[in-house]
Amino acid sequence: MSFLLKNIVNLPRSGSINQLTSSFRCLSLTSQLSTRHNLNYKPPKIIAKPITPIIPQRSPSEDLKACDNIISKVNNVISEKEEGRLFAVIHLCGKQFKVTSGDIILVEGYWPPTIGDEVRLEKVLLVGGNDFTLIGRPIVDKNLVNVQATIIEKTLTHTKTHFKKKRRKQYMRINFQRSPNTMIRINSIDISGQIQANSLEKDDSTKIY
Amino acid sequence: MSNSHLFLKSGFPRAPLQNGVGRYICQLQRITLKFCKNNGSSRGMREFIEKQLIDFAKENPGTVVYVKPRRHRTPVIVAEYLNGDREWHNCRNLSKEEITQWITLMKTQNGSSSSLRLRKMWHTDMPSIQGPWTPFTLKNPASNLVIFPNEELSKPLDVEKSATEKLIELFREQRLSEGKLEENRGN
Amino acid sequence: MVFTSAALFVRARGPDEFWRKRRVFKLAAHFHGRPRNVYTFAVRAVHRALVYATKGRKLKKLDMAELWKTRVSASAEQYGVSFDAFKNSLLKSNILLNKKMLADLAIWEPRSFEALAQLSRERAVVEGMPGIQERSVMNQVYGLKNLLKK
Repeated sequence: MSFLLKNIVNLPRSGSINQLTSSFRCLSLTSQLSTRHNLNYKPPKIIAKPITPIIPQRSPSEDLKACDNIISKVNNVISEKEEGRLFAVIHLCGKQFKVTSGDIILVEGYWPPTIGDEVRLEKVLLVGGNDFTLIGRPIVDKNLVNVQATIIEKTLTHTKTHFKKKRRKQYMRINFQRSPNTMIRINSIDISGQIQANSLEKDDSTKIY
Repeated sequence: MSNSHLFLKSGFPRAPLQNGVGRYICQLQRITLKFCKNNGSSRGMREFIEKQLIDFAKENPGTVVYVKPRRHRTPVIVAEYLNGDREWHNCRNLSKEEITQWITLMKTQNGSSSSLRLRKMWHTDMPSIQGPWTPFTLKNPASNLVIFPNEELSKPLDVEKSATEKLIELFREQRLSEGKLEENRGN
Repeated sequence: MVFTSAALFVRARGPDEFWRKRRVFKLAAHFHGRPRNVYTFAVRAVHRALVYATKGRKLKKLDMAELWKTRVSASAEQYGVSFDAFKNSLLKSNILLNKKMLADLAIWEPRSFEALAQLSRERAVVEGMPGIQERSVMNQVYGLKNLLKK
């Protein structure tokens, strides 16, 4: 009995295309179809076919050339002050914000700077303008981008009620909490200096994350 | 309390009068300390006034400080802000340090914040620099010139092959291979 | 308090009860029907509301994470990259933008997002990640750079 079962289990596994084709061969389709056989027949375009891994066939020198070209274009835009309004993605106290100058962001929880302090936000993950984007890996070079901000308010949140209750268990707890909040105004986002190609390929093995 | 009861408004972060765009201006205009000269509940307040109030007033020239003794009443801090808000805080039996903390809080905030639930932690006047995404952002502009109804565009995007078509294809493959075999045999 | 009779004296249980009930009624002010006006019902409804509010603060974060994931995967699929391949290849290239930022960029800064998408695509092809699709009828990508004036 057991070997029969094994066979049954094996059958659907071994049921491959070969078996199917052989069964079709047995069917011996009518010649009507075969007369319509067209040699110029093209199979319908396969939609969304997966790509096999291929290394791009450009030579490294060509790549470098294209890279330099782009960088010089961006540098041109920056040196002529034509970049317009910039935005930046900054990392602050464990959160990321997309900001532009004049924005307000809030930091939740304890954060030492006090009102009126002017700070420079150094963890800039991405800077963009209308025509170009500088993507940091993971952060953009500190000397390249300058994001200035002012702290304008330090306050407490509204009272949050932490209320727990279990039905029919005589269990009820209530706690009230207010956590500190800091409001920050972004003053300016500037790109100072030129982008250098080799700065992008700096060896970052010494960095500690 | 619960998020939507009538006495807790919700709102979005705003700073009064573009504060911080040019320079920062302390929003606290007036602070009044009310206390009793001999009651025990105002002891911390009296200590604060004796030891720290002068320093506080010197550090904050933009703020007017009033001290108001009154007999046998609870000590109280009242802060008044540039936007007209008025925050009242009871300081009964608080120590000097606690009072310092509350006064720093009143100094650093822009108005009474206790009554506003923030819905966002971010505010911007310029949400988009490159122009927001639209359904037509990545579409070919040639589709603007198409006149509808259009037969080509009305077709479903993804038509799966039917079983018959698959069969025909398999049959053709088989025929080709068989033809080759026969050719080989004929040779 | 002035009590005209002994019965009223027994009934009046002091000011505490009034304030206690008022606290609950304040939170029940926007309820409908008896939960607004009858204390027994009001207190139950208020307790339930408070529990929901407490749990909701956590759920909101999960909901937002899910929403961002949906948005990012939709916008990555415009460029024929699945969400996992997109996120992984960005991570491989040491770009540590989070889901919230990617979703924001996809909506508000489509050109920057296109740069990220193309970058991740090339990386994913080199790494041989699954879930990379060729351009097709389904994901008709012309790319913004074809639309921009030279």
